[in-house]
Amino acid sequence: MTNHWSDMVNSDVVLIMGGNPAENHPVSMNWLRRAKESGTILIHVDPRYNRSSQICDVYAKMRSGADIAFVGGMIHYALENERINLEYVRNYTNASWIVNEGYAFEDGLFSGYDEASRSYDRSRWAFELGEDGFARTDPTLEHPRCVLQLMRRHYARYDADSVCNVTGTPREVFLRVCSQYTSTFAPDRAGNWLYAMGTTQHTHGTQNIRSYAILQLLLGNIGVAGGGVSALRGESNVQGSTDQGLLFANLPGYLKVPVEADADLGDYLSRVTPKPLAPDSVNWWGNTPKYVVSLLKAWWGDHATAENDFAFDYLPKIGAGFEGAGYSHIPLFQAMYAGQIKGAFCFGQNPAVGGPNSEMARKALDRLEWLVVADLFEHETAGNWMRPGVEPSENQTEVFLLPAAASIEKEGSIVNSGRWVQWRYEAVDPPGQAKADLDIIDGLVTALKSVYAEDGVFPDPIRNLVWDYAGDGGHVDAKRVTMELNGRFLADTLTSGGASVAAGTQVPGFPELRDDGTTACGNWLYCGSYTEDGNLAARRDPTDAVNGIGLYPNWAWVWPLNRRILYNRCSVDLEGRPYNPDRWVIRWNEESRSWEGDVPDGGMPPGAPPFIMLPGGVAQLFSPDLLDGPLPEHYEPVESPIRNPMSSQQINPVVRIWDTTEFDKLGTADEFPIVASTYRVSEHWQTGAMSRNMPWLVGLMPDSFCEIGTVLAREKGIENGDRVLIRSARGQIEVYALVTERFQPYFVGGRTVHQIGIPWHWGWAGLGTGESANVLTANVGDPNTMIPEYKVFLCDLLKKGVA
Amino acid sequence: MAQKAMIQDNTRCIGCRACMIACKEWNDLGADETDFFAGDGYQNPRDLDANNYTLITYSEKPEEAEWVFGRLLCMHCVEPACVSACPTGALSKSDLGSVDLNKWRCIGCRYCVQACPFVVPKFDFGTPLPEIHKCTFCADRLAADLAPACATVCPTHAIDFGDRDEMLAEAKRRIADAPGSYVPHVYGEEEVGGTNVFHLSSVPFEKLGYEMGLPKEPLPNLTHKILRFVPSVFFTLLSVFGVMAWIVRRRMTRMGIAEDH
Repeated sequence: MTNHWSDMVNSDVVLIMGGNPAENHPVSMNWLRRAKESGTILIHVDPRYNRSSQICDVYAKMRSGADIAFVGGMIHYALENERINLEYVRNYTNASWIVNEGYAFEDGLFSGYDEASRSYDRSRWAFELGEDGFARTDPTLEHPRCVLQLMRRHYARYDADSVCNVTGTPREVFLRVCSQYTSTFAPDRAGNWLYAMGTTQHTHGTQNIRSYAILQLLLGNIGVAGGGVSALRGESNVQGSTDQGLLFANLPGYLKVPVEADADLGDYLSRVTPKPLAPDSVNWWGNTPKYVVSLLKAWWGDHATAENDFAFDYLPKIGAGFEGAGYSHIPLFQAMYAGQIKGAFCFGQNPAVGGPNSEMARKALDRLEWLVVADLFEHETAGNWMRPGVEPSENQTEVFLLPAAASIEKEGSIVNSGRWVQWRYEAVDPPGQAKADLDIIDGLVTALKSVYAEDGVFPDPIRNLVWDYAGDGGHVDAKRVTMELNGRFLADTLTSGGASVAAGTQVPGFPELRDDGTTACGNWLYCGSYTEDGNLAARRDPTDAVNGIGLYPNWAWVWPLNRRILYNRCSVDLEGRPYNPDRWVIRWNEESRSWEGDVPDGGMPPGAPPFIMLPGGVAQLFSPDLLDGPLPEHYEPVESPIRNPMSSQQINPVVRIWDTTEFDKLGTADEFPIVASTYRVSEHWQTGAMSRNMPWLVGLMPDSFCEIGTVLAREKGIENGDRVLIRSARGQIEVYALVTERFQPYFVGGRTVHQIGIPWHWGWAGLGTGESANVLTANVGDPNTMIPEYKVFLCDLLKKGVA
Repeated sequence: MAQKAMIQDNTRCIGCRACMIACKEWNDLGADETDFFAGDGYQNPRDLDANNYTLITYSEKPEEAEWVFGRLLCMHCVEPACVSACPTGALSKSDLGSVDLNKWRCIGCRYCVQACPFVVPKFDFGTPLPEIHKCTFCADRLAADLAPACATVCPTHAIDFGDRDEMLAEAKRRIADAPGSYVPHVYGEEEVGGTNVFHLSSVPFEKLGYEMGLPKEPLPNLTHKILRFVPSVFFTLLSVFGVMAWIVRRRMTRMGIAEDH
């Protein structure tokens, strides 16, 4: 999140799209409930009326996969009615930047598209450069190729009627949402946009989020109290895991992982370190070399020196991945299915239920020679060799099931959606032989080091790895790990302020990190969280800051640098005066020549461009960085019931369509006329590996079910409680039918379309069992993130026993 | 000690059922054996029972996509009908406001089940050693100055807990401050002479599955005038007949009619 939970009471309007916080972040609803009681309008946009809709003021139904159309319509409404914060847009976004003449958009395709490779030549979307090498701009926003004018033309097609024909939203409800939400364009009103997997799990998921960001920027809602783009992060500790670089393309702190083509450190750094795109841009990622070198020093200590490129050779480099598709979940399982992967570690994950295309995933797992699972229960992945319908003696996988400690049985931190790093303690000992993940990894590394001490192919990275986290009683001390994440000085030196610090001192903040090997830091983003003042994530002081907007600066620790609202320089004008004095975030004190309030996002005096993490310094309404377009454009999901009403380009033109296994089948509306989506409920958690072993939870929701609208149920002769068969191009499942008014038919693309929904928590293992919804989902994903399109696919259904 | 009371504010309820699970955890209740759902939406089980001292109700409005949640639990009435009906005094009203059940005195007669206007106490029809079951108001937690388990765990503070006067005032204040958000009625304030659980709702209470049409007078008033004499009449008659039987026996023995044991 750019803001945080306790900031939501400052919002005038909150819109939730592609998210269901009441069911999946129940504790967060306390903040939304308080906001509502203080006058905030809550709007929920969702294909299904669910427990979040119930508490909101306005519910707008929207067909799965139509986000870009819906939000495009809101952007159209804002632009047409001049409900945009013009000063904010002019000064803080790239609205004035001029795009080169080669850019065009025609019938769903941007310029530079190559059909054979299904990819774009993104240089066709580049900005027009001036003689100084920076982008040319028109601050009057009139130039026909400036971003704002390009956007007006692009979004002209997203009028209310066209949009509602795609989304299926009743026109008057859609316009009401537009009117209420765009009221936040005023400087004294703020709107917050919440989203979750309903947004991201699409083949245009990244562009979905881009639409939200664009609208929020036009309204001036980023960097202000009550504003923001609020990703509702996954069930803990997804925020922490992405921060620490668990995504395959990242190193800790969202640094980019090196690739095979990076010959040495210099090559790599010049590839990943951006250059400023505007003359006054701060371009904070320009500091990348300091963070990378400090990381290498943390990992390989004295073995990483200036002479050996700081042990850059020790870092694994990624190649192109399976069939050039990288190493995300789908290509990983394709590679596994093809027998290319010998063994796997599966920590706190159950891909046999949670990944797309379950039948294919389970057969892929069959091909492993060995599998190490660390979890609390023997779930469907650990027990894949004995699943119903297979002969265990025919399975060759050796499974090692390591019992893992639950979250309250170990010490460490969890990061919430608002980037709050909160320290937690061990409440009870893990049962039996269960161990904390840290201890499991510690055991593994210790064993690896001991075998690699004798022998091994390229043993240096393991032999020379710094590994000294032992605490009391044979456990890893999470605090020691955290101290390394923070980092320390490796030599006696002076800080940037001129103070002298001794070697071994914790680094107070990442501005002090160096690229000369004198600092070590396991994660630059966390630099400042465990300083000489101690473990700041353990603080629990509820005193609010001087501006009283719910920052709570001394409760836990927030990255980066305890800054609670990101991009907060957007909350003030170019002189440093708050746009909304009643809810000011930061303000410039001319006498003391310093900022008050939240930690400013860049301590420079007023006037510097506020988006310091972007090379241009201003937010990108038009972004040449993504693979599928500089502006979001509506495409239908890969499996869709209708032809795309917006253009001839049916699906995302860059999406990879897999054709490698017999499970890579896609269905059409002739055979599978019903749209289906998967989602979660309060009562169960992810693949149900834990919650389906809790008798009380199983009592509440015992078995797989799908939710079907009353109209569709009547057509199919299905009554509440009947068993039904749901079939997609990948497989078939049998579940209970819950007939409800909360799914209503859609009228889109000129015809009636029905949508159903299936919670995906169930599998064959455990106390409460049921069939897995992901048997039905497909191996298609977003081209930028590769996240699978779990949220929309085609199916057919019939009552069991009916031919 | 002031009487304690609870607010159940259904405008804040998100139907998550953490309250049901917390109650089972605190009272060590059993798990439900279910196949599907038992009512509208996700309701499980169908009613309060031996394993569920509280229950979230889901009621769908026909022909409109809308949802309402309510919560059933013991209302801990000010003048409980169950306490009055219980022949052994197993049920009693405590100083803290909870209606307590002493299971060692309970003879399973089910008079309380008949008497309760909210249909709360439930009997174990399925076991050879049956008991009556109902919400305890977490009286053991109250005695340790803690709030009931449900109130402690509710993520949205739909369940508030405190001194009865304060809770009633707070319930009324919420309605007064946001009249558009609430039906102007505190359910439990006046029903059957008043209770210690005050429900607030954004829709008419009958849609939540609550008992409606209840009189304002405490139910024990209907019978108390006469029935309060039952124990004393019973024991008096028992004593009188006992003495008379003893006298008659003595005379009959003396007259040689009865044998002298």
